Amino acid sequence: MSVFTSQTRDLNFEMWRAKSYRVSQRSILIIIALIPAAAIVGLLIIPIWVSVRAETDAGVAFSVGAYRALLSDPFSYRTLFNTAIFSAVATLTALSFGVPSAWIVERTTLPRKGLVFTLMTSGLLIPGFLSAMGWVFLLHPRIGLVNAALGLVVAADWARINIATPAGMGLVQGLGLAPLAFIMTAATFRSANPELEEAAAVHGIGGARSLFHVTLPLALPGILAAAIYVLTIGLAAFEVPAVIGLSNRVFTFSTYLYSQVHPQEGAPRYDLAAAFGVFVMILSAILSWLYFRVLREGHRFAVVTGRSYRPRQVELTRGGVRMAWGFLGFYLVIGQLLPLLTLVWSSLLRYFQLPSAAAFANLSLVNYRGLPWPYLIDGLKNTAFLMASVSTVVLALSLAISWIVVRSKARGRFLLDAIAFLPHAVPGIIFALSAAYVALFILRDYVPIYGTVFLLLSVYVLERTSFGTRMLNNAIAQIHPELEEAGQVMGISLFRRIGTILAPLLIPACINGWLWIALLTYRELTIASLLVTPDNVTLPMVIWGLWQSGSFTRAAAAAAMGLAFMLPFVFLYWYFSRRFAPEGLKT
Amino acid sequence: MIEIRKLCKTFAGRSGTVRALSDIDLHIEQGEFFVLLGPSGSGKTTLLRSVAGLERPDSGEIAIGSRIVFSSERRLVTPAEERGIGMVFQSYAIWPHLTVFDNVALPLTQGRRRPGRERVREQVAEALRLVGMEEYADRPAPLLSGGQQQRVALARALAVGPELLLMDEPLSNLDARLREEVRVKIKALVRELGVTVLYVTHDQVEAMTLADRIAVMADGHILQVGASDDLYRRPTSPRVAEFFGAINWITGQALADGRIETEIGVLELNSHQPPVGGRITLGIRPEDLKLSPSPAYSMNEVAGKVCSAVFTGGELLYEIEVNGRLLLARTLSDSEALRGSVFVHFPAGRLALFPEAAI
Repeated sequence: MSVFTSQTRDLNFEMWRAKSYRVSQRSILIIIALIPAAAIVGLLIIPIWVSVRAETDAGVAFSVGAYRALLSDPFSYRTLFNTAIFSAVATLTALSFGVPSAWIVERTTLPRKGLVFTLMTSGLLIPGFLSAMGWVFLLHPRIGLVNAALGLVVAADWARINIATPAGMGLVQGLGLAPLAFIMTAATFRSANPELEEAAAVHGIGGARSLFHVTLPLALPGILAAAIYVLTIGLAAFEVPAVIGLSNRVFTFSTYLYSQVHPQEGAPRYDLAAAFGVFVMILSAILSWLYFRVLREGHRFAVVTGRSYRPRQVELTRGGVRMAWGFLGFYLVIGQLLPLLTLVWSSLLRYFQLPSAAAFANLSLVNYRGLPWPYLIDGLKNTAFLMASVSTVVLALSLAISWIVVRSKARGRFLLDAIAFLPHAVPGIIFALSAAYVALFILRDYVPIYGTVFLLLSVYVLERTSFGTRMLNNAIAQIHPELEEAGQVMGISLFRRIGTILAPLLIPACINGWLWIALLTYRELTIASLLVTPDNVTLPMVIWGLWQSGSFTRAAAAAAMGLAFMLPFVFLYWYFSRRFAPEGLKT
Repeated sequence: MIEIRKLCKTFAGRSGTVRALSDIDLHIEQGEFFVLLGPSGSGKTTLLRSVAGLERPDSGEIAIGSRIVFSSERRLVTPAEERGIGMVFQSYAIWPHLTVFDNVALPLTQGRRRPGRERVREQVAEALRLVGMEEYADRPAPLLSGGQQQRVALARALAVGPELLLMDEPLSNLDARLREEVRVKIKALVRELGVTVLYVTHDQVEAMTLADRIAVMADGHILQVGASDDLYRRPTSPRVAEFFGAINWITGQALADGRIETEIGVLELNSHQPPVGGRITLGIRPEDLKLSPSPAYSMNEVAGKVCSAVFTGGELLYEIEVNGRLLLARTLSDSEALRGSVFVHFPAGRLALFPEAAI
């Protein structure tokens, strides 16, 4: 007799077992993954809702008043114009340093490239607001070191470089974004098919002609994609405009949002901020769409193929090596090192001075002694807590999301992946705005989270989950699915499989990712600017607060200490990332 | 041991849906070594993974032993973790972060039943001894050769003490010589343990060496189930015949007296072959053709010409032209190769008969 027609008692038992399993581990994992996804979607809907609601006597009503106010105010147009100039200059600057550096590292025989790669990558970790502070010390129209030096030569005002302009801020921002342009275009150059250049060489096209007629046109989609990406980031950049622009009343998008929520006088205008935010969200969406389109077009060029090969490398002469190092050195010293050194130098002086014998004699620690230490230590404690907790929570949530996206066949997993990626495309300041609104006006009576470090934790986690899932999607895809299936068939439950098989294999990627997220958390100012109160202050906010209050040298002292705290983590990151550096770039 | 009824599975592919399994019915006996044989894309791995619980079929039923593990009608799916089977994967799936011992022990320490530590050690040691890997217990997995990984994978699958062992192309990543050696060992081992085996391969020699019975699959269907000699000698379709090695096809027309008029002459059939009317196709394997320099049989013999003779060691491969048709023939190489005119005999019992439309 067939099994299917016999035994009903056993069958019921089996059914019960099967069902009880299905509501357990896999579902739990899906619920864990859905929590951040729902929160992300919620935070993106909030600005739209806030921008179209108005409180009338009859209650809450739909209104386009905020948009009308925004459109009729010349200030919004000026902000928009500033933002356009700022992000355009930033993108151009970033590309003009990043692209040649990428070409040099990937396509020439320059010795010790691994070092350049490490230094450029670490450039992403340098807090933008610290570099911006350094640049103010160098180039402020009145107090800047360079301008003071220029003043010794020419007394007239035209001979001053003013960075408190949209273009000036764009330049500073661009220097900070150059590493991003570098990393993105390096990938393009690395995957270039050498045969295309060899074909040119065989047919008599060599050297610079080959570079301009073959290499660069082939890399163009990659460069264009990088440009769009950098532009998207630049559009929403907060730190540089906050340090240089706010005190000079030069506003860009992010600082406009900030000033509407934290106005110097009057009540916060969440509706105006939200309306502007919605506008920029749409702009970001268009740019992201363009980005993916360009990337797809690029694939049509078939620069990337499945075959593995080493790109052709241009043999550098001794002079060429010098020129290459000159270019890279110029960027690393001027773009990265100089502003930070200036910051440290200024922190040791009572007032700004050019380096001189007299200035050296005046060096003192008076700024350090004058720091608001209890406040600073509070900030440091909160920041340390956030670094550890954000990284850990992000990796845990990302593991759940990535497992569902890569491994499960759950319906809607690609939507989940797209939602997890959203914070990458949406400016952080908009998330902060939403979170502030939710915490202040919606959750206030139920969960008193505003003004606590847990609000920062939640928003940081949502923001970084986009990075965590990108990283873990790749890492999990590298692990053969049969390794998990073997455990499954032989009776190991999902959580135990993740714990004993998947997680141990992901550890190398996770260490790197954990440190990276911790370092980005350490330097986070944008989201903090809208969510920090005296009760949940972070280290970057202490430094920025000192700066805003006009104690520039004391801010510099706090900044120098901040850099010192950061260094061990950067070294740790170097140590681990070097073990997983791209092939051929290990030093 | 395994009973499968009306199992269907479709995959959504880039160009529409692909029917990986259509209405599969299969019954596998306790203790049987059963092989699923077919080209890639035939659905054999999907069937194996459905039995394992790694793939969820669209409809149908699967029972392992006396337990129904999948039934679309009853809305019942037992997850893979609960099916209590052992499995050897194509990639071996040896966990690279663990030693040999820990690879075999993990399903015991983390799995459904978790015996005590002493018991685990005994079971692992026993499993490693069975595959001859006891000396490598402490070796980290990445330091193993392909053949050693294969043995650890087998030990791991056996250590959980399964009644059913699934194997998905377990030998395809080994080199040819090792494959032959391991084949013999696997066969002896599972016979000794009395475990039921469901084994997937695309290699018909492997299938014939190992299997008690074979199911030949193509395009999501089971074409024929039977023992190796059955499938080789008595294929029920030309596809099965072709899958088991080279075969000559001759088309013809059935005559009223039961004989067949073909393109190379009139051939007689065995009396027990079923009568087929109309256009038909005859198949005969190269080694079944009998060659002689002069006429030697009273019937089913035609004259031909040797076009080429190739010496391949133990055998001679001929191409013979008969009435404008090229036929392949194979003989032992114990005598000199024939040249020029030959006589080709078609033994009536070796002729496989199909309606022409089947090709």
